[in-house]
Amino acid sequence: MSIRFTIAVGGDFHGRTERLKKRLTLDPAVEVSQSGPDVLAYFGGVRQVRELSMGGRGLASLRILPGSLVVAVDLDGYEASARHLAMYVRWIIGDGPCRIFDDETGDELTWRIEACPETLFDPEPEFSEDP
Amino acid sequence: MHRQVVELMADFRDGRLGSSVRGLRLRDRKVDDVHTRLVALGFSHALRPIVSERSARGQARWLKVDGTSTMEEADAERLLVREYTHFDAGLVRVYPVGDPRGRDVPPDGPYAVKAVLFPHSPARKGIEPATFYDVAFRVAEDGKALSKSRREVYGVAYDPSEPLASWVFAEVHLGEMACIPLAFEAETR
Repeated sequence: MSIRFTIAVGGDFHGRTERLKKRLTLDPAVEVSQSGPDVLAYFGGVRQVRELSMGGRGLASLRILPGSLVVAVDLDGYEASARHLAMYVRWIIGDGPCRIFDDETGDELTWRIEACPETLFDPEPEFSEDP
Repeated sequence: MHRQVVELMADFRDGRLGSSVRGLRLRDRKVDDVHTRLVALGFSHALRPIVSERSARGQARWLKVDGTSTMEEADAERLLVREYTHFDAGLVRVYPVGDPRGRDVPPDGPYAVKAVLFPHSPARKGIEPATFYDVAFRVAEDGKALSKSRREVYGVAYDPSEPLASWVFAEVHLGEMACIPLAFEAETR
């Protein structure tokens, strides 16, 4: 159970995901691996955590699924990891048309994210900073 | 943290909410023993598939036991978790073979997760599946209330200048305390 959503990447899926993969591969704080046809990326936040996490434990992740033409996102990671992944999600959204679906509820989040991308990462805005 | 969650955690500690999971000890029990015990305690239960991701049109793709996904609801290889809900808002999820992707729980065996639902959640009646949004907080084996996610917005406090220490803290907080290992069937026969 965590915040998970799927980005249906519109337009040139192959070209867009190739650009994404190139960015991920060049980022020393991202662990990129191949799982069958899928590309899996774990976001360390910093290089040191990426090196120690072993299999992405406790890190937010992203999967590129060419067979489904989607990118699956799991935001559950320690804070720096989630924010690291959020940076990439913003980039994907800004790179061309997308549809975004909440994995658990099936709700389409596209309109909400386009209006205010921050809601994707702090989905319960009524949360205060009280301890 | 959300004021309501803080209040619910206080109700939990005072025994006004989620008592069914606070004193519940599951570590190293067999999956079937857990089932028998929870049913005896008044939990309702259901088998739930896990959504792996959505298709480009938003249809559910279900997680399979080998870590791949399928759109076929009749696929016998879909991973099914056992979800138990109590009228006092207690929730227990049992992953008989773990999570092959290691996201909800580790992939190396049976695990349970305890949590408390928001009192108004429809999942409390056991009819609807409990989603992330229905959960108020998680509960450790020893009955301690834990935040439901590693994210800061759910109450985990981090020092941004210490990313490594933050990661270790999050792993202990939710990676270990929130995932309760159950007994392998073969070991207990």
